[in-house]
Amino acid sequence: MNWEKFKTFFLVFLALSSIYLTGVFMYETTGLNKNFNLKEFDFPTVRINADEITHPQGLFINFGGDSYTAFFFDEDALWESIHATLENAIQEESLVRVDPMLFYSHAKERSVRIHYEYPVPLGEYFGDGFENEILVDEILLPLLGRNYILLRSGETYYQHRVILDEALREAVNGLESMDYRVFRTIEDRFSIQKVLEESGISVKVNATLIPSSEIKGVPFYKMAQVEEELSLQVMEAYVKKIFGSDLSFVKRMTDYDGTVIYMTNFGKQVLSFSSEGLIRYSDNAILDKDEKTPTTYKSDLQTAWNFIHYFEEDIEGLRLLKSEAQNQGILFTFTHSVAGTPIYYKGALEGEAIKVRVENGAVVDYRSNIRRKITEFRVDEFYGSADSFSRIFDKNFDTFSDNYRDEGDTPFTSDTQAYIFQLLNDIESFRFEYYIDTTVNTSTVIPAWRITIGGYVYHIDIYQGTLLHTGEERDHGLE
Amino acid sequence: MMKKSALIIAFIWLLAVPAFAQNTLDGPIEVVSPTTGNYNDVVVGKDLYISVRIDEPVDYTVELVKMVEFEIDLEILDKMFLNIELTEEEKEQIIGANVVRLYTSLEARLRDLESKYEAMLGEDREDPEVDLPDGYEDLERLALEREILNLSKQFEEIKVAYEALSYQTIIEEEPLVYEGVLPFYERTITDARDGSYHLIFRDGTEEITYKYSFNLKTIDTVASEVFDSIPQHLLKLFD
Repeated sequence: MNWEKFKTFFLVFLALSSIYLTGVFMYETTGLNKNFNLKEFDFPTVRINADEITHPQGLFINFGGDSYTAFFFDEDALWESIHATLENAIQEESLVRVDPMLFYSHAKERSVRIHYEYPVPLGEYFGDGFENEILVDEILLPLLGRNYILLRSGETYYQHRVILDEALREAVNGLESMDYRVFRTIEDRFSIQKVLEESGISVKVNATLIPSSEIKGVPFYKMAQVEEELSLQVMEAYVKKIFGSDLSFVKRMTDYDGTVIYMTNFGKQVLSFSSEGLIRYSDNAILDKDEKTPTTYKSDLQTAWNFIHYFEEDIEGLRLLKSEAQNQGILFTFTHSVAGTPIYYKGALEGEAIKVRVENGAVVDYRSNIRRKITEFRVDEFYGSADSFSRIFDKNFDTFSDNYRDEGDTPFTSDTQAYIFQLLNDIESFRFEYYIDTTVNTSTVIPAWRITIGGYVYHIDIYQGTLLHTGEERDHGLE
Repeated sequence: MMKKSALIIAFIWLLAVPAFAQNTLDGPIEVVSPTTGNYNDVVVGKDLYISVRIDEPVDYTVELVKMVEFEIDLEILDKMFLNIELTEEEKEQIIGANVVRLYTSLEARLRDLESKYEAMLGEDREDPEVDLPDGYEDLERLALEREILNLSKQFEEIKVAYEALSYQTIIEEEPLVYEGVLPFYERTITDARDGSYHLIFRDGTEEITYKYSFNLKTIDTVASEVFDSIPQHLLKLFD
C-alpha cells in the first residue's frame, strides 16, 4: 500500500516537474539565475561629437570670381569652424522669412554653402530645440562682411543674424591659398541657358558644381569580406551581446538563403546574419509594454548611439543621414564614411550603413551593413587622373538618355544639341562617394561620382567612367 | 562729291580691315568661357578656364597667347655698335627691335595723318561754299588719302610681325576636335597672371579667322584697384 502511494506521489512529482521545466524553457528562465537581459542592460554612454554627427553631405566654397571648391571629404578645420559658429546660435524667434533671390544672389559671392541630402531639424542641430521644428536643406554663410546666414527649407528661405567667427574666414582664406580642386557650375561650363533659350525653352540656371580641374590620387579601399566580417566567432560575440553568455535557450537556425538566425522568447527577440553581411536585430517584446517613457529627439539619438557603439566595437566614421518619425518612435539612418567620404553600400539597406529604430526609449530594430578592416591602396600608376566630366557624360549618355526619356519631359529628339543640354540642365546633384556592392561579396570600395538626373541616381567609377549602379532617387521630404 | 564720298568709304574700310577677323564669329564655334565684362575685362580667382563649344565638325585650330612687351637686351645693342659678331638669336632680337621701332613710328605717323584728314574734312563742313577751280580742289586731299592708304598697308604688314613678337604662347596651337555628345574644347590655365590675352582661331591656314580678346585681372588686382580708388580722407575712417 505504501509502495502504491509512493508511486503515485512520484508520478505527480514528475508531471509537475515537466510542466515547470517546460515553462522555464518557453519563457526563457533557468529558474535559478538569469544571466543577462538586454532590456534592463545599462548601456555605456558614448559621447556624441555633435560636429561629426551633423556633418553635411556637401560643403561648397565660393571664393569669388567663378571659382569654387567642393568638399565631400572631411575638411576638419573648416567644418569645425562652421559648427562652432552655428552651434546653439540659432533661435526660432530670430528666423525671418526672405525672398529666394537674396539667397541666390549671396550664393554668387564669396560664401560657404552647406548642403544636406535629407532635410535636418534645425532646432535640434544648431539650436536648443524649437517649438515648431523647421527642417532645412541648405545653409549659406556669406563671407563679405554680412552678419547673417541664409537657410533654405524646401522652397522657403530664412535669414538669421549670426556673427561669423573670424576663424571661419581664416579657414577659407587658408584653403584658397592651397592647391584645391576647382569646381564650376554646369552653367558656367556649358552656357546651357543660352542654347536652350535659342530653342525656345526658358530654364533656371543650373548652379550644380562639377569638377573642372584634374583629379588625381584618389585611393581605393579594401574591406573585409562577409566570411571574415561575420565569421562564426564574430557572430557568437554579437549573439552574446544581445542574449548574454548563457545561450541555453537561444535557438539557432539557418534559412534557405544562408541567413543564420538566433531567436528567443517565441521569436520576439531575433538576431540574424544574412549571407550578404546584413545584421538585423529586432525586439518586439519591448512593444508589449503599456507604460510609455517620455523621450526627446536628443535622448533617442543618444539611445541609438549608445546601442551602436555597444553592439559594434571599434566603429568610426558614422554620420547621421536622416531621422524619420515613425509610429511612436524615430528611425535614425547613419552613413558610414572612409577618410571622411560617405560609402554607398549597395545591398539590403539601399546605400545606407545603419538604421536604428528607437521607441519608448529603447532600440526595437537595428540593421547594419557596414564592413571594417579597411586598408587603402593607391592606383596612381595604373590610372593617372580621373576621367573628366565630359568623358563621363559621354560614356554614359545612352543610359542617362534612356532613363531621361522614360520620364518623358522633353520635346526634343535625342540627337539634338537642345536635348543634350536639357538633360545636362536637369542634373540635380553631383558629388563624390565611395561605392561597394555587398550583394556580390566583393571587398573593393571604389571611388565614384554620384550623379542625380531626373529621378535617377548613378554611381560612376571616377577613373574608368563606367557605370557601377543605377538607382531611383528617394523622396527627400522637402522638394 | 560722289568721288569724295567713295574715297572716304574706301579709306574707312581699309582702316577697319584689321578689325574684321576679330569682333564676332557667327559660325560653328562659340567661346563659352571666359566671358568678358566691361572693357573686355575678365576677373578670375585663381585659374583661367577656357571653354569653346563646337557645334559641328570644323577644321579650326586654337591658340592662346598673352601680349607681352618686347624688350631687347641692351648688351646686344652694345655688341652691334661695337661690330661684334652676333649669334642668330641675337640677330633676330635686333630685327625684332627694328620691327618695334618701325611699328611705333608708323602708328604715330598714321595717327598724325588721320588727325590732319579729320581737320581737313572739318574745314569743308564749316565752309561748304568754297569753290575751287576744277582739278585743283582735291589735290591736297587726294595726296593725303593716298599717303594714308599706303601707310595703312605698310602698317598692317608690320603689325603682323609686331604682334608675333609680342605674343607669348600660353597654349600651343591645337585642333578643335568635334567628338562625343559634349564637343567642347576645355583647358585650364593655373595661376593665370594679369594681362591682355587673345584666343586665336585659324581655319587651317595662317590667316587668323577669329580672335577673342580679353584683359585678365585676378580678384586681388580688382580689390587693389577698388581700394586705391578710395579717397585718402575716407581711408582714415578704416584706421
